[in-house]
Amino acid sequence: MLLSCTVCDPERELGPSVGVAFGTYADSRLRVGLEGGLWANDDGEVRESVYRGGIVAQLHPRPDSGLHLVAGLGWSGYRAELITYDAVRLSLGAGWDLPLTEGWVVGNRVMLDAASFGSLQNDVGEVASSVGLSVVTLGLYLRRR
Amino acid sequence: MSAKKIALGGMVVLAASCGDDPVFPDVSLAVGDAVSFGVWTPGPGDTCSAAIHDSYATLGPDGLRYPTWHPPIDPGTGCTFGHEHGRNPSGSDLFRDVGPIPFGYANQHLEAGGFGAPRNEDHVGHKIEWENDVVMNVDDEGASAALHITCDVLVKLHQGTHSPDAFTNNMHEVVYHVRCTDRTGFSVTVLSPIGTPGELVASCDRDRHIPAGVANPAISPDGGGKRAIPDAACVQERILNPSDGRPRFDSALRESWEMSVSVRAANGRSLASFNPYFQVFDPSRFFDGGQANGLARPIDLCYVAGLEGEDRCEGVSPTDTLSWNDPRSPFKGVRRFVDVNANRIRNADGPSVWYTDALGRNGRTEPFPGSIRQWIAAYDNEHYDLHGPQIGRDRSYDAPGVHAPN
Repeated sequence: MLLSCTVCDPERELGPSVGVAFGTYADSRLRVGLEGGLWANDDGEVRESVYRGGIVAQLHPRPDSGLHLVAGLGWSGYRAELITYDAVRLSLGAGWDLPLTEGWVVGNRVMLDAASFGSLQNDVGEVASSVGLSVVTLGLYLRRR
Repeated sequence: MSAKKIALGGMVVLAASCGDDPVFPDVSLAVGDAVSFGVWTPGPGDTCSAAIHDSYATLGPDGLRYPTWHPPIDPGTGCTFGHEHGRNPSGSDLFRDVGPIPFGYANQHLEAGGFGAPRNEDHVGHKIEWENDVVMNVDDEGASAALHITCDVLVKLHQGTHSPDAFTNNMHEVVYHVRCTDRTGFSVTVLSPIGTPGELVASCDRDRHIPAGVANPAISPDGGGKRAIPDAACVQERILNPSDGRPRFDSALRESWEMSVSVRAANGRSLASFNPYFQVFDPSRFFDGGQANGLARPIDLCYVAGLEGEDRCEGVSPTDTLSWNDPRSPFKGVRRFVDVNANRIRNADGPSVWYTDALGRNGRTEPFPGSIRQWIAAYDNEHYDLHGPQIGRDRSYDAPGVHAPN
């Protein structure tokens, strides 16, 4: 996770992330749905969290391949005690399905969530403007066919 | 490289510069000398002449010639001045913008701004400290994880630690330049009251206020903060009769001038405020009410039975009876540092240029007699608590020839 602005901490923070998505097949190669997720990290005594939610689409360029591309649009929110950030987010990524059983697949995925044009706020007001938020996720998933 | 000087309402300002080196107003254009100029004369061990010393001068915004920073050893002749003014400000990232610091500028304009008495300070007490890219602490909940704010800080305080002046006198000139990545920034020159006039606070017991006489000027106002200065009781407790038998000079002989400075508009609104602590190890004085002017000398402790060669007296030969102003004395106030602490501005609507009296009050947008030009960024950082750390803690400004009074 990385916050980007003139006064933001330039260190990219590492932390665990979990997510869940529900959707349906639009056609044999395209799945669409809703997703949500959480990333978290303890920075000293401060718990940082990034929440995300929105719509997501997964496209298989070739029906016989596990490769799929992922795109999403939604909201990202950053929280660090009184510090908050909320902005529109775009997601891009790619993954690879591996058959597990007749009804389930597992896979791995790399995703970039990027948000910008937000501002950091606290209980008094704006702390920083023109703030970007990016989260790169390397993950494993379990999906029902 | 060129510079153009424009006279505006009696003020000479730097108009332009180009190239790698900053260009500042030519001091030869001075229309006169400030009260603070030309007051230093060499002592018995000082090898520089007053003329060499006075060649280190700068032009104040008022067009007068002021003394400014110089090295303790003149590089041209190798002569020694016997005193130092701290860190060479030309290494500060702010130097290009703010230029040489005129010593005594606020003192110069005190009376013309409406204060009813003069307050002039000696030359050797002007001390500069600076640091570039200081990582600030943002204390608000959560902000420390999200924010990374750095500041360039360049400060000057008149902090004499050799005479009885600060026992009673609480008005001291401070020049404070700060520029931060979050747009917090100001350049302020004021004569700031520090603590209560006529009294000091014992450095080893801040609850102990010690009346020391009548302040000069007698109408000095109360200021926030305090002047924590060691007294004979601190010396007794931590050097002469420590509970564990081990003398601790740094603990006992440590001054901390803790300021609470604000620049205010005429309606009383605070435009900028800061509260640095200026700390000094090894001052060449401590307060002793039993002595004339309350003035006692730490070097004398090195000749007390049992303290010879101990702690800060290491290297002081028991057979050489050093005077308080001997360059070989370790007590000459060359170990200093500054706690930057809070930097607040409330000036979102601007303007950036304000004119105040020498005390930093009565701020207006137009100059008036005795006013001092202050620069305060058009910004408001009230949304978080921006604190600076210590700067200069590991530095010593000792140099050949340096001695008290310094």
